[in-house]
Amino acid sequence: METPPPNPFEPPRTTDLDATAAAAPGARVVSDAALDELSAAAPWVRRFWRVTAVSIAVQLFGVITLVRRFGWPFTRTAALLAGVGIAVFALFMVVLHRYAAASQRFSDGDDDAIGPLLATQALYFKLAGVLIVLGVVAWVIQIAAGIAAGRWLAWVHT
Amino acid sequence: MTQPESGNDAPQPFKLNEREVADLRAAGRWARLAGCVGGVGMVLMALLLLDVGVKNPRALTTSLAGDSVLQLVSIVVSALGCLGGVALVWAYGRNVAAFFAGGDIALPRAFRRIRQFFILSTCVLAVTSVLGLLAGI
Repeated sequence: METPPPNPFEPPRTTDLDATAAAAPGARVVSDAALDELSAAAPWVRRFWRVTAVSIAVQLFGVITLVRRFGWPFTRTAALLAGVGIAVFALFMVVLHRYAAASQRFSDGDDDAIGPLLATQALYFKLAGVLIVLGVVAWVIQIAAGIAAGRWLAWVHT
Repeated sequence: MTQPESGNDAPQPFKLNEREVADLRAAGRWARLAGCVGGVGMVLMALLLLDVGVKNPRALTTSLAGDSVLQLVSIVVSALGCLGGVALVWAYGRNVAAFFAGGDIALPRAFRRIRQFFILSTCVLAVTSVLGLLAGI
């Protein structure tokens, strides 16, 4: 049996007025599996934050030991580089602390915590991205200077 | 009076608002950048180590191990951790991009990668901290 052609003057059905994920501009539906994965990460973010704190303490211990053993004039560069490393770790620790707190709240059932959680996730990767780009650019400049001076990759000159 | 069942008791799907969508998009973008640039950095590092190793293998061993085997183990663990971390961060960024391109199953994969990234980072940092402490003592 053939279906009759749709009536162009028919009023819309109520189901046609329901908002869908595709129709809502900017809104996105998140599946339960994704939410479970976000919740499952909470204890590991907390552990990572704690291990980062321990790592900073160990780095400080290492720097102090080095300077005491060999003296400041011989360890100045190494100590300054270690200081930069410790400052970077401390920066990540601050962001991780916020991430761990939001992650824990979300894991405990507070759905409103997903906003701060995603904001901190973005901040974490932004910080990581900026630092990695800066580090690699500095690294490339150092390599270029080494290659120009003939210290590294001598086959480039042949 | 008992209301007839209307079917509205089913759990509502979890929706992200515009601000959260923007944050997730930014996280994915920065993760892809960090993954790509980190990969380039690791390739450059491998190239330099290869160069030093070919020209003077003894210098390579000395510069990596110093006066302690613990330091060598720590560097190897850190390098493997960095490699895995860069791969996971890049995979997270790719999956977030795939989610915004319409792949709904990509978001659980993205969040799984970030969980694995935190597990890997915790283990690597714990091991290198213990090795650093032992080397310092």
